[in-house]
Amino acid sequence: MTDMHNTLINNESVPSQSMDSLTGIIFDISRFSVNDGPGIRTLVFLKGCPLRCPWCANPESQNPRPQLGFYKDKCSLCMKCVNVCPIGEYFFENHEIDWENCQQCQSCVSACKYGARVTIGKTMTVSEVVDVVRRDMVFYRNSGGGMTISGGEAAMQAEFTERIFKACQALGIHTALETCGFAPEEKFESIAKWVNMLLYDLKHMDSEIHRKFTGAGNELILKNIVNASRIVDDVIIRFPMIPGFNADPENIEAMGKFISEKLVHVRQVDILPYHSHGASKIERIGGQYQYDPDLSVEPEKIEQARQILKSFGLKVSVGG
Amino acid sequence: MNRMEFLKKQLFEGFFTKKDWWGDDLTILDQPDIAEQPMIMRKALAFEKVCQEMPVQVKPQELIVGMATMSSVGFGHTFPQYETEEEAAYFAQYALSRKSVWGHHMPFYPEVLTKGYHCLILEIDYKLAQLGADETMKRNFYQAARRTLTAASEVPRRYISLLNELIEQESDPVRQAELMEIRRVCTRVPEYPANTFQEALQSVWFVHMLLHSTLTYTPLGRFDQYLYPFYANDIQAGRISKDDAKELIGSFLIKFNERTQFLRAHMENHMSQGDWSQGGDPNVAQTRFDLSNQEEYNYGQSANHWLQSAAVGGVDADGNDATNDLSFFIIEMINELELLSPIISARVHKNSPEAFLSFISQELCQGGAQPVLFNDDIIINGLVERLGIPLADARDYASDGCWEVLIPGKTEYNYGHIEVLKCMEAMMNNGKSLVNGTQVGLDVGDLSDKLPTFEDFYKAYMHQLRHAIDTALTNRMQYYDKVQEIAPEPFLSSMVLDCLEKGHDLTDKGSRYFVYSVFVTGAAYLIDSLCAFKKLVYDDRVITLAEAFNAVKTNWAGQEELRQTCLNELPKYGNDNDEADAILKRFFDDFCDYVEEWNRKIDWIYVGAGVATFENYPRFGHQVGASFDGRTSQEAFSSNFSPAVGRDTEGPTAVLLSTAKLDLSRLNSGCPIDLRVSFDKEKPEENRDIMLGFIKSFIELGNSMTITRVDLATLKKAQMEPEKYVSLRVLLGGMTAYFVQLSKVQQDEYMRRTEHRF
Repeated sequence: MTDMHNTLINNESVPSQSMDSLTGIIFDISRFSVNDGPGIRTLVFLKGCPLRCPWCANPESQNPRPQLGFYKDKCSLCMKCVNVCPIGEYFFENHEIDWENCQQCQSCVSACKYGARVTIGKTMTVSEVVDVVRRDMVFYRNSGGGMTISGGEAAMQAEFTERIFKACQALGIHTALETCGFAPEEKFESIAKWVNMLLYDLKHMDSEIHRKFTGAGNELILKNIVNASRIVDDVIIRFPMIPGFNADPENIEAMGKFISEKLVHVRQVDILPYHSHGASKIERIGGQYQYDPDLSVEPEKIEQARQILKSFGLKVSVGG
Repeated sequence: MNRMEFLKKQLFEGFFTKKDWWGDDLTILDQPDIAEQPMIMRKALAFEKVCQEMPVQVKPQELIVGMATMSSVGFGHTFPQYETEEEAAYFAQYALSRKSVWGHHMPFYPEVLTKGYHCLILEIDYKLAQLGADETMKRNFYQAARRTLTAASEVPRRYISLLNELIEQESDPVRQAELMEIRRVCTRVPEYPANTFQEALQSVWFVHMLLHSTLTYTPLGRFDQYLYPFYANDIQAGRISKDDAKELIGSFLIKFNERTQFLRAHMENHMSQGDWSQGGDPNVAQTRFDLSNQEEYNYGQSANHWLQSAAVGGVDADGNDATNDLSFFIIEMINELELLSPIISARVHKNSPEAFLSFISQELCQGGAQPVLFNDDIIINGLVERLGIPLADARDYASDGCWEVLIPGKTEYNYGHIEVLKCMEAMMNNGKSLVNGTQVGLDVGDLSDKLPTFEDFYKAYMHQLRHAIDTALTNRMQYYDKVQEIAPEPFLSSMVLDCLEKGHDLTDKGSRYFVYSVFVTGAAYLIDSLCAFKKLVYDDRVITLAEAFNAVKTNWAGQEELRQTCLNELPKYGNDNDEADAILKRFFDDFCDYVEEWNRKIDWIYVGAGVATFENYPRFGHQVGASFDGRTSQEAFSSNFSPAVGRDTEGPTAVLLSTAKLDLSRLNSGCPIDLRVSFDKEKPEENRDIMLGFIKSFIELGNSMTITRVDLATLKKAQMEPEKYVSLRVLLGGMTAYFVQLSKVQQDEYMRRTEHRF
């Protein structure tokens, strides 16, 4: 065994000192992520979101409970699931899941050997999550990376989130939070204390329109970012640019004004042009995509948005 | 169009032109009393015939001249006959012929450049004068070596004659002056020591070209190191600028690619029985370099490959970083010209300059798969601690044909594959292959009811593995001296340390080091299989061992569900999964322990260890039946030490961390992970920085690694419209290849690889 190898084992891969058995619901942990925060990162996706944005790119993250996912292309129609499913006949006859009556018992998942049926969402303790995150320490250190908690909405599992961040910071891991910001103020503030970088979604400056599309007004969201930008000293505002919702110059203008006047520590604004990746994902959980998958943002519109935001003295990046 | 653009265009057009194979019908047996000559002298005379008669050609605009005769790893070589029919029949018993030249090991170029043939001849004469009357073997060797060096000096003279004509005809005064300078260079090298950078490049090329025209595929070693003094002198003296140097390097590098053929119809097959043989019992798998399966595999794998690898960067003999301008320029020119050869290995270590690591990162982000990465910190440690190579020499390591680690210019090198899934077949199937029934291991009878615990199972497996290692090494030892009787290498030997000093040919234990590496082949599938047996048969007792054996032996007939369980529900190597990696570690610890046992047993040869398929991963897979990891019969393997195709789902950090659970210094002959990566965003600086972070982590964790940036969409487009993607390069497992030149089977196989999104 080389010296270096030993150093690595000794300093970075030892088991956690104290076990934290608080649990949360995770829908994915994605190692080697490079798009949500600096460097090489591990992304922890928490399950459950208070908003219901119809263009959501991760619709399987909305429901706070574990749920069945079905990958039709992997199904061999072996019908092993039918035997254990309380409503299996429907599948036997139609080769489709009766989503309306599915009781989410997950029995079919262990019956399926083809990986076509999976449970989306699993319960993990804080320690278990941190044990996965810490595995890539070498890569964080060499790339200026770290870990990002995303969702869903992490603030729905505020204490769980806070404790993961705390544990990671204790290990010297850079922490980032990707959030829609819709959470009670005190909860959000207590999380923000443990965040090195905030990736914060701003969708619309008009509360009514915001409510109409996402199911909630924007007051709390705006309040939280004003507070959080004073606590976290590295903030990136993310603007999902959705045609037919928030892509109009007036909204972008208002957003630029708000960011430049009310917020501090904003490193840059990321324009995230609309894509319909959520469409194929939502079918797997028996939902229907609620937005027009054929829409796209014209490059000129993106450029225009960029110019508007720049005119407020903001650094703007397209694509995050 | 500047010179580089012109030379590149000329080269790529040449890929589609049929190249003539020269010299296969030649013989020296028509010379009087030839059969009375010792074999080594006959080899020298045949070599001489090539020097005197091989075609000479100078191409427009080139600065380095000399054409190698046509040949190819996959399609064989040509060389004048020098052995009688009776001799040929005798050596065929040992799977040997005059073409049984293994290549892979190279001249000690630093000395070739500073001495020249002339000085080597003087040394030989000195040695000859001291020989006793009864030292016939040595005398034969020296005389043959002398003959080849004298003959080799003829080649530049033939170029001078040609250049005289060209200079006379040339109307452009600029080109005429260049040709005159080339002519001047040809009067100097390789006969005399090189002085200028151009002389050094021309000298290396003439030597290399001649070796490659006379059966011996040699790599280049650390050419940024031994060329540097000449470059630095020229720069200091103001003779050339850095741009001039790049032009010279470009012109030099292009020469290594001129034998490339894109069209199958243009390829002639000159493979014969003895090609690539190291000699041995023809029934032993390791005896032959077997290229016998479908031609499209062969064409895709090795049609345009000549074992031309080279190393840049790394530390010097004192352990200080030795990266220099040439380390950068060579990689830059390889990628600017989009060349396959030489395959550049960049040696990196914890004190590599940030600028060099950043530069490599940027180059790898642009695609083309060059350079391959080697970690000095791990490999040098392995060479010293595990093999006992002296530190200064270990620090001078380079890559041989594909990437195997050796000490350049001082080593006689070869290797054998230990096909670890064949050991599993032997265990399940009375020692016989599941594909064709041939003997692939020990017949120990039916074990299916005799292995009650996983420990018993593992022991029974290791018994087969040790047998395979024993067979390979015993075979090699037993026949080691046979090659020199038919295929000695007096020319190469005169330039490999310490052959002249000892008076022994390279094939007659003349070199300083002899290394035989045993390479684990099919590693990922073995580890996953062992995991599957452990979990399903022993831990969870879902099925009996007999049932498991039966599923594999019948290629999963009626057992698709079981196969899917094996594929989808069990731990897999390459995912930083502790359960799978514990088996990985156990297996490799035991493997390396046994290799070290052999090392202690024999003192004159170093037995190295590594993990390799090279570019032959489809062929190796093709020769093995189903395996209990879920792989179907004859399915291709993953390349080298890469996780099983498509099963590395946790990303590239998990791949590196899985392997890092081993002491990778024990795999001192190399064990590359081959990654295919793509980028979601076109942000060159951000992408480069991510790559840089990854490479720096590799320096802490890894042994060797290749990175090919190409996404599936591009590969699909290239398949549809090959004419638009002629220069698209991918790394297969040892060599880089132009993707569109591969057969469809090979392309499809390549596209199955996991795409890691950066």
